[in-house]
Amino acid sequence: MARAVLLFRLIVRSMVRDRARALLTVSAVALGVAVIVAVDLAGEASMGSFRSSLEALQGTASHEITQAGGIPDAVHGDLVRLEEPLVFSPRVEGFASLVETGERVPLFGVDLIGDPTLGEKGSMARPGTSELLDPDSVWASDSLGIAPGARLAVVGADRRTELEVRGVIETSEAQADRYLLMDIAAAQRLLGRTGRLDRIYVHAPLDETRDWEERLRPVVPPGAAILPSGTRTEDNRRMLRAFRWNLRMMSYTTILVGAFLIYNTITAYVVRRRQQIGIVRAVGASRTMIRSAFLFEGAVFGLLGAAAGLVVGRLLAIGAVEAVGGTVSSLYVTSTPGDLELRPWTVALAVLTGVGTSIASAWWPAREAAGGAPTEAMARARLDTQVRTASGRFTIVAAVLTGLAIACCFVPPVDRIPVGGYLAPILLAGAVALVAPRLSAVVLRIAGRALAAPFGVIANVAARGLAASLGRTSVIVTAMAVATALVVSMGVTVGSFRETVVDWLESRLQADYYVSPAGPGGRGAGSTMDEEVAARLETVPGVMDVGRFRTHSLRYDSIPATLGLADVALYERHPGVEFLDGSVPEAVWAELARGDRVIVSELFSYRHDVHRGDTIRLALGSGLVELGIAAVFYDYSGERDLLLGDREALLEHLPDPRLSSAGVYLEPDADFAASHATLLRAVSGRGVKVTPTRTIREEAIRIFDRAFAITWALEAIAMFVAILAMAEALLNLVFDRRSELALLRMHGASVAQVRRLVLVQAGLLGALASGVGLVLGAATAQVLLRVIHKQSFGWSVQLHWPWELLAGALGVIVAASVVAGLYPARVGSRLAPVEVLRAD
Amino acid sequence: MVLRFLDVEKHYAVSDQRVPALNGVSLDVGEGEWVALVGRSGCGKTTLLNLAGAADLPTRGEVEIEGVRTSSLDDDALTELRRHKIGFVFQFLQLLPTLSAVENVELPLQLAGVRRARPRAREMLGRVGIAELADRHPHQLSGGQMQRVAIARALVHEPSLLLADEPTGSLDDEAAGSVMELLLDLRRQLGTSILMATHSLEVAAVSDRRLILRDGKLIAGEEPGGL
Repeated sequence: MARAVLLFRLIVRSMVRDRARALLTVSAVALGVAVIVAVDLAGEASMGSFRSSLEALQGTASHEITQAGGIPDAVHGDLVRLEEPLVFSPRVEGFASLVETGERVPLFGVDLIGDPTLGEKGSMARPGTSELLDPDSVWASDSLGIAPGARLAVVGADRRTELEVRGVIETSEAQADRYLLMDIAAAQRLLGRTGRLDRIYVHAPLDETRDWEERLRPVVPPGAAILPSGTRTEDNRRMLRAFRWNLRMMSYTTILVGAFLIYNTITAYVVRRRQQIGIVRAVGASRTMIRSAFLFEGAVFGLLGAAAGLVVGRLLAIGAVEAVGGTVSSLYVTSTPGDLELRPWTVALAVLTGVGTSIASAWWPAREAAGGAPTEAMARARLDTQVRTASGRFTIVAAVLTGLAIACCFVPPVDRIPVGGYLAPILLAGAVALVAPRLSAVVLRIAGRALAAPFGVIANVAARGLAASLGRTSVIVTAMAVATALVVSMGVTVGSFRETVVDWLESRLQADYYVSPAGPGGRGAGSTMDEEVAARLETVPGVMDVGRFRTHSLRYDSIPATLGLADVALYERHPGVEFLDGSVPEAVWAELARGDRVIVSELFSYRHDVHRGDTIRLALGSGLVELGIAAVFYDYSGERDLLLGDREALLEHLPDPRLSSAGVYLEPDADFAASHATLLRAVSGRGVKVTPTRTIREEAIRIFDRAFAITWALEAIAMFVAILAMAEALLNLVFDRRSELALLRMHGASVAQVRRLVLVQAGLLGALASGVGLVLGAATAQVLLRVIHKQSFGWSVQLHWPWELLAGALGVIVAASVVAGLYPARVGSRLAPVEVLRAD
Repeated sequence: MVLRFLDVEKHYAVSDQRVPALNGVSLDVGEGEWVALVGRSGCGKTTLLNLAGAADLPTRGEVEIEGVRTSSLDDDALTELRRHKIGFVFQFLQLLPTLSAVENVELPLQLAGVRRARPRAREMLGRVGIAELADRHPHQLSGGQMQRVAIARALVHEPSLLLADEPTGSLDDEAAGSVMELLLDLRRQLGTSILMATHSLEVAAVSDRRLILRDGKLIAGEEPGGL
């Protein structure tokens, strides 16, 4: 009890008295926690959406059977005839566009008559036989808000159809899935997949544990995959994991920057209460008590920050879920954001992060406070002297950390998570923190001399004042540098990536127009159109070539991949693929035309460690096919493995001639604008769209920019916290050096000169941090591009320096630093010299 | 008259209470005159020096520096007055620790925007006898040397009034004697008026005139016998 009273007197009273500073510190923790909570909530909500729509119809299946190019209907018949207590649920899965709203919703075809598992959930009223037999019957999930009996115009594949809504399927409020359900035969027709199933779920009796896969294998084609049920959801989850990890790591930067602020605050409290500490120690307080008091103070900051961070994070998540959900839909898998749910884990994460970071940040100052003898209470000068004398040792440790960071870059990913890559920037930031005192001292000494000529003695005094407070200066420089490095590294990374993608889009999309099934498109659309569309396009005057393209989903080495079938003969005339390994394009096309070769994306090559000349075994159609790798090509279309082969040759294994898209190449002298109308006329009556390549490029870049919008937001918040830390540090500096400011005033310094002094210090800190941040950011960008991106996504990105953006950002940071100095400058200039000198 | 106090009162507010520091003080300091202000700790010596140096304003009454009433000036004008007319020497907190001796000395000149301040600062360090220590920092100087630097800084801009607050209070006898000799010598050379607060009668003895301050009031003065 006595200790609690002491804690209250020593800590809480001071916090209450110094409300503004306490509020600033709590705000920094709150923002750090809020960002983490928002990213976690938004990520979970985006994940939850696609999980729910798939799992809603999956029931209690134990396995699922899939096959590249679709499973022939007959296989289902063979399975049903098996004398085993198994129930099979065939599925056709695709997307349909609602003509009225343009919304693209999942469309599932199920066996409404023969599938006993559909009744298990009781979510849909059993329809009558006549309704089932009607190929225009459709059932809509309640969240679509379509009343039974309504006519619904949709485009499935390339055909527009009018359906009748026979009923509404209840979905849980939390999932709020939006989808359509049809009988399997009707869905096959609507989606252009007659005779093919996308998936067969296998329901095994729960009380029997047999190797069902072994039992099923002889019945299904060799090319079919029998996977544990939920594999696709797991695939999506795995695919999104890297994306979420990258966001998550970025979200932790704010709390890291906030940690410097907490350290600064507690150090300032320790310094200011050095007399109190000395007295309390002299009258019998133990070191543990003093240490506990300051750690308790850190914990209070953390707890208050975490509580506020949860509230703010929940609000930020509303915006974040839109950004993350949009990116997930565009780049990964179509999904509808789920509800934001504040789960116990999220609350625990917030509290642990807030309190943990705060206590860790308070550790060193608390140790220092408890370390001295009762008569030797900690003085600011002692801290600065310690920092100065240890700076040589710090530099050696910084060199070791840099070496470790470089070593980390060579550590292979763990389950596709670039652990070494994440560790490297943290180690580099640690190295910067350690080298900051020495670097700051040198730079400030030079800056003081350099600035004295143009800005007078005030600039010199300002620089020397900072150099004399190395303990504080180096901490704030590190905090600002970390935030700046985040801006620089993301600027370089995103700038480089964007430039690379723009170049790639320019070279990859060689056709003038692309024709594809109507609807917004997107990942996993899988819609197809009749080959006749391409034939019609070929007859249009001014059209030189029409390239047919079809994609199939398959798995290689248990990882989902997309196989693209292209008219490779056209690539000779319209080269659109660039190779990593220096392969000669003409030779590659000739090899592909033989039909026993494919080219693979960089990601595929990296992930499976296969290269030109290797042979891979793919499950294509009903069989397993051995294909050689003719070359490895650059691809930035997404995170899915991609293989390309000759359509003509591979139709032997995947005989479905329908197309995913067609590229239209115009004659060089063709009228581009007029051609659009002509092409539209040629395909009128088919549910397809004709998109100019420029529009596709613009859309791709828009999606790209949207994907990174959230990262810019995270950076802005981290920078804001760094600016708060800067303001707080300058305020502390003013307080610590108030006697010197008073002395200056007594010797003739005007209010304006004192104000200028503090502003010069703010500008110097901003400039120093920007310089250090630029170096740290450039190094981090290399790690991001060459390690984290490579290991997460398998992309080679050409380094581009967005100089204008960087110059602008660094200018803004220095300007923001000066703005952060305004209030401390005001405080410093308003100090009454007589009062200060009397008090000291 | 360099300095004139006319029935000056100064009160401080401490926790809603008015604490009088000076009460009805009137005094004059003539050109080139050395006046010692003697009294115990807390009698109001430093307050009086602050008012004399235009670092603070009286609650009542008037302070005139070379005929200019400080209460009629705004902060900028008071700063200007301090820059050109006043030099300060304190017992503690003498020098800016981050600046060398010569940089400390040139500080008032630079703050006033004087160009080529360095030669004047070096010359002044020569006058106080420590030209060879010009580039040392405060932590490399002894107490007496620091005080000489402080005196050089207080006089480098040739003020009409030097205000010294216990200038020898933190020095040993030898150093204190040396500093007093230096002040006497400089006054002879520059003709600067000096108002010096001290509690040492020995130190006060070198002055032209001594004023005794007790509980914020001047109670006696003029002659050593009055002490």
